[in-house]
Amino acid sequence: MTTLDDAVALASDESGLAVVSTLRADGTIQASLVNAGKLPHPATGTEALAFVTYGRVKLANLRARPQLAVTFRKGWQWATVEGRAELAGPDDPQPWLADAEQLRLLLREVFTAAGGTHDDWDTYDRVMAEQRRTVVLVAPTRVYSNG
Amino acid sequence: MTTLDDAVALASDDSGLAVVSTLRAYVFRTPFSEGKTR
Repeated sequence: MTTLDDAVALASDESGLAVVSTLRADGTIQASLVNAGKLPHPATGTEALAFVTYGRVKLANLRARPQLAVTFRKGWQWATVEGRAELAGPDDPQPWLADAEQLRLLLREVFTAAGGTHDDWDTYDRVMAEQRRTVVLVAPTRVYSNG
Repeated sequence: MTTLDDAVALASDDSGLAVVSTLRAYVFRTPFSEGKTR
């Protein structure tokens, strides 16, 4: 059985690059590329897939229809993680998200979980805040692959 | 605007590798049903 660890590991050499598919209101699929990684859910501690986004279309889709699929690949090997998106950001409050400081730290944590490194965290924080970036957390409901 | 040529060209060194996403039948729920697959 493919696990979340298996899926995320496929893109470990590529900063967690993965294709995210969301649903538009008309039932068609919208797909884009993100850096995703695994971390404990900030409230429950259960393992979650996470990425950061500010794409207006993706966020609008996920607010209305939280189902999504995230596909990782390495060559011909691929694995897909499906679940429901939980959004946490300046425009997407959560009961467990106390304040802007906790969001700032969570944005860093997600970036790091996807394999990212940064030599100027202050600038990272500022850009994330200016762009009103949002954390997307996914509790996996299905994980499958071709191998 | 991104064209079909632009998209396909991105994977030209990778034998056209691409992720395909499809839709499953979905489950709808009403107060009177446990859920049916449409």
